[in-house]
Amino acid sequence: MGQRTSGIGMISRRSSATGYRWVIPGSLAIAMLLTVLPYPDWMLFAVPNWVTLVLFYWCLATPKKVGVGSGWITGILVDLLLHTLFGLHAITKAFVAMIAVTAHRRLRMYHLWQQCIIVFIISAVEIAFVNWVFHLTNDVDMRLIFWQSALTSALVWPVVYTILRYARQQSGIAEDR
Amino acid sequence: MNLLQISTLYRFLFLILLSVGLMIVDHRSDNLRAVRSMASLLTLPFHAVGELPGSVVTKVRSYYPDDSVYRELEELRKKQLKLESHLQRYDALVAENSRLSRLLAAAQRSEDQVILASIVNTGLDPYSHRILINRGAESGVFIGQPVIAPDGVLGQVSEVNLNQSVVTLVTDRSHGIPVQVQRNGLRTIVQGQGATDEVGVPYLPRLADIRKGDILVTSGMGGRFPAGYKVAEVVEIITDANAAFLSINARTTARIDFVKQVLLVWDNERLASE
Repeated sequence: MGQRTSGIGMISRRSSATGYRWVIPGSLAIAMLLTVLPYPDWMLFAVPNWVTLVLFYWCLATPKKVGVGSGWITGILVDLLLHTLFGLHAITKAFVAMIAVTAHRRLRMYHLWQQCIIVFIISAVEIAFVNWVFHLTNDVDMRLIFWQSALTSALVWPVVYTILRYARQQSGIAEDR
Repeated sequence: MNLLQISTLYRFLFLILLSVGLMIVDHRSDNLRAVRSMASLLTLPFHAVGELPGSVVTKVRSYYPDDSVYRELEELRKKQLKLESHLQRYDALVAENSRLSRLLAAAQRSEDQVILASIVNTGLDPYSHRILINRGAESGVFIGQPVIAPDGVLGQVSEVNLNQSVVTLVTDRSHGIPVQVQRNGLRTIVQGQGATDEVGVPYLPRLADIRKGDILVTSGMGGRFPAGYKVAEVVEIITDANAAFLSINARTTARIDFVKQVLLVWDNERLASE
């Protein structure tokens, strides 16, 4: 899914094509699975934004393979999964991908905790947008409680980052320059 | 590299337009329903796997019954006995009722057809009160179909896929249901408030005859829900001398957060009239 969108990602390394092909969509699929786990009620507003985190990582590490297009397709799949309006999460995921791809060099220079702040801001914007669209279409109140999810996303970012970097190195996917 | 950034930006702008278009089409019309229905097959495994941990826990727990299970069994036995005794009277009453309606030459009220469905997912998104159930177009589910739990109305089907449907609960902000007070037949509307088991009764004037503890049942108005199912119980009435309407809090009789299985109802009266 990821490599097709930019086409030029093939030059980096072709030695272990099998891992390279499955790790990226696989990790996104796991993130979607984590999204629909039956969480207890008190956690409902504090579930980390798994898909955004994983997408953000791949856009940082391999912006030539995973970009706005893959982000958009991921978002459409999330819309299907959560039965939300078609295109709602597609917009937000494309947005996340755009930020990460255009600023990937600068973002990589940051400390992990600085990246956490960026993750917090990005997921807060995303949640605010989703909440706003829900407000327009379903007459739902705008409530501040939804920001909990942005906070937990930022808190689990170091873990997600470490795991995905390990998975990337193991499967021989090189960082794009 | 600059090229990557510029093309990214253009691609992003294009995708935004595309998504906004999709959202508008999806919100305003039903054209995308078929796509959604087909694509739900794709998301089915996710919900199935996501369900696994919970079902494994309940399964394992079921092999090691503790005291609470026996206590529950005992309670259920008592309830069963009580219900059976009620049922005897019910049969007699049904017979009597149909006899009387025949005397009055009124339409005979038959029992509604139901099928059982399991809840697949309850936390689709934290913004609205919707659940996913494992029955869809293949079982004949239709949009607007009433969904009930053993102790009250849960909501109605708002989206049908091939073998899954989305149910909008009575507690959802966008859901209203015509009801009447069981005690005196006063008609009104119960409106969802986005709280777990609380609903509001917004349109009753200050002098309306309603009390704490009143049971609200479906009135059958609007033709969507068959009449006579329990919806909510009034828990609090706040009278404000300056307000034109009473402020009433009610609790749904169905324990929405505990329900595992639901019933989809086919209203025979309506089927007959169509």
